[in-house]
Amino acid sequence: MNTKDIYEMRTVVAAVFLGIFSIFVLKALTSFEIIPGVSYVYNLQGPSIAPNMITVILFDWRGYDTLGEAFILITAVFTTGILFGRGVLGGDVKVGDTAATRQPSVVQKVFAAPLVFIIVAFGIVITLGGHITPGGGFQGGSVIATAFFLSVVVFGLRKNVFSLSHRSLETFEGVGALIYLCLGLAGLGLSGYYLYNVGADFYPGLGVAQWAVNLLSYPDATNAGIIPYLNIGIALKVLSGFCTIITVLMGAEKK
Amino acid sequence: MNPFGVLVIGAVIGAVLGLSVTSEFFNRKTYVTILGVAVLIDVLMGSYPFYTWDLSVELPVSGVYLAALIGMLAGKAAGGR
Repeated sequence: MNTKDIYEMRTVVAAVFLGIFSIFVLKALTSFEIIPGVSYVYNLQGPSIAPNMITVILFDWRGYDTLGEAFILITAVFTTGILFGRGVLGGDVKVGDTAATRQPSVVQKVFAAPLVFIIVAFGIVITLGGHITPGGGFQGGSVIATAFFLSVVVFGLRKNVFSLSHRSLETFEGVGALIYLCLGLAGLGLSGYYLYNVGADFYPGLGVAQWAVNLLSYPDATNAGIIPYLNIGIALKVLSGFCTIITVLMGAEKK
Repeated sequence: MNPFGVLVIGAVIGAVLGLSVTSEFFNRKTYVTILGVAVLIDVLMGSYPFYTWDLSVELPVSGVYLAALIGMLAGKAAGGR
């Protein structure tokens, strides 16, 4: 079988799978029952499964959406690394060589360092309040990464306020992903549902052990269960992802 | 129930991030400025992110911002580069 035959075979297989997929999509569209207004569903079921509506929309029904966002971020990091990261990741240019292209001005020097602290603390607040306010891990992680951006833009990669090595970023990324994965698996193992909110245990009939509920209860009067921990994991992941991107892009700039 | 755990978690995350901060760009004036501005920001933010305290008086601040910032300073003092 030569290359042309393989290509033809691949086209035929793709066409068959596309046909099967189209049949299922058409069937789903014709039998899809539309409830008038999404808010109807949220208002009816929301308060019984989460502390408030924000939490319901953010995680209890969109936890998988956040998982998808994390995958998008990973893809973005990979793509940036492949396109621009040859200088830094390929060893052609050392990170130490990529100093700031010009010296920071006095105003930049004076304000950048304190601003890093102020921005990071604000990012942490946004992360920790994600279950009761519009915010969350993605937003908080982005804000924290902004501090790193500011530091790198003003002082360069070699010597900046935030000395985050590639190993540190890998650790943050790994810890964030592990938090998300483990909490999801805890829900799967204890209740049968991936990402089930074990700490809040809105459906006691599922038989989640009391020790697990106590372990993952959030230390807050509104007890949102695992949701704040998911926020922390996502924040670490987003922070490391964005910081990796800026590291790679700054390295590529000097190439 | 008072949200002390939230303050602890905020301080711990701040401390972990503070470990990566280099000392080269900071002096005593910078720290004083940071703390002063942080108190101001915390007051202006009010009770955001709306953690409730079981106290007889209503606190004007949530304290999470300050806890995170103090955690960062502690982390930097403990292991900053």
